[in-house]
Amino acid sequence: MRRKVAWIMILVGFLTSNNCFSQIRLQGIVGFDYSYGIASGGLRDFIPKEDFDGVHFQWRYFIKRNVSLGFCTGFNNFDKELPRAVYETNRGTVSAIQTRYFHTLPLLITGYYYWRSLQYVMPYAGLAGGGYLVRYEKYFGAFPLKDSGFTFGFRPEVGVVLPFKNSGLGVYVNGKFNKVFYAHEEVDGLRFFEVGVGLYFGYPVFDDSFLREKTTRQLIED
Amino acid sequence: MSSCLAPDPMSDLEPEERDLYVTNRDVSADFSNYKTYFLLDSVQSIIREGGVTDTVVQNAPLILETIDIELQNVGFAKAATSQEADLGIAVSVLRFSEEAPALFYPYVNGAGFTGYVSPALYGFPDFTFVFPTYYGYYEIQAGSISIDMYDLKTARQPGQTTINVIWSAVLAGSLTASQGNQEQRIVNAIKAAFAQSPYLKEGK
Repeated sequence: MRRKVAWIMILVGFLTSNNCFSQIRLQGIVGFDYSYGIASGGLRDFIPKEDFDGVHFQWRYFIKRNVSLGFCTGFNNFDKELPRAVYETNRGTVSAIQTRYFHTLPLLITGYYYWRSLQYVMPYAGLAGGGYLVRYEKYFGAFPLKDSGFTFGFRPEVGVVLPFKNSGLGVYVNGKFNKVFYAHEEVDGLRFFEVGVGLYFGYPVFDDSFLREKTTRQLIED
Repeated sequence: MSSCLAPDPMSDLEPEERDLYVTNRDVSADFSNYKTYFLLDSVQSIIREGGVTDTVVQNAPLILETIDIELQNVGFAKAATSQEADLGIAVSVLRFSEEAPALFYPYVNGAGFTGYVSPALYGFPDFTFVFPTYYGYYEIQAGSISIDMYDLKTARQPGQTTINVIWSAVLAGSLTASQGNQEQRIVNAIKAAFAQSPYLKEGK
């Protein structure tokens, strides 16, 4: 117990201390987030429940203090087992327990604009675009009907970055809307919202001035 | 949080939960025209050449009795002989597996298979059975029960040489060697096939 308390105190001290890293300017951040998703349109017809789970990894590189470019990937899963029901199909009338599954894996280039520097709370807005790997599976009992593809999509996003004080760490929350150009049977257009919360690790701009100093000193000594 | 793996109904569902009850109908058939039926008193075993040779059907009396009751429940009357019946009914057990949206009867009735019922058993020795080409069954498991309904009334008209299969049910998996209550699984499957075919009651 004591050890736990000690670790928590160290962590709190680390996150809140002004002395850990003094006034660092971050060059980039690496983030991991969990997304709560809300299906919409045809996807909601296919998976008749609102929520699904997603996990994303992202890297953002600051080309200016208030502009980043980067990359995002991860996955979102929807699945649902429906009780036995009768379906009219083009191959007869089928009574079955259906299991439905929909999976997306985005591979996106991102661009964000931030309204304040990274030392403070920063609202941002941006756009991600690229490819989505999608997989559609519908089982009648254990009989599968499948479709998959790699297709274009885009994702507007708004959010807030909340840095821990001078630590290079922080959290972010965001809202995203995914529009993917995919259609198959019930999914006549793939659209879903996400609300995400994530943790990021920043790395500072590399400062090589101390190396130059050393080199100068070495030159003098030589 | 759900796994990133796809669901696996083969392991997630109990055997009877995986059963499919598939029915097909001839869309041109008017079921109000048919009042009586003749059900063969044995269950056929359809075997693929080189496949299993076991033709003993477990629970055959239960299968036939349940179908008999369901036919009467939807309003058909039992005929004493095939000559008096508007419809012929055949019950088979399929001893092979197919995983395809199979339009399988055109070949199960022909080369490579044995055991399909003969038209002679209904008094039409020189006739052949004809299935609408759009009938589909999704999957056939070894042990599926098949029920076919033949239009004997039209076949008796002058110039006919074929017997149309106006209704067909495949209860995939219902006789799979299994765990659980086999008898209840059979009854549930047969009842479901009739329940999902409300047009059978037309005109009765």
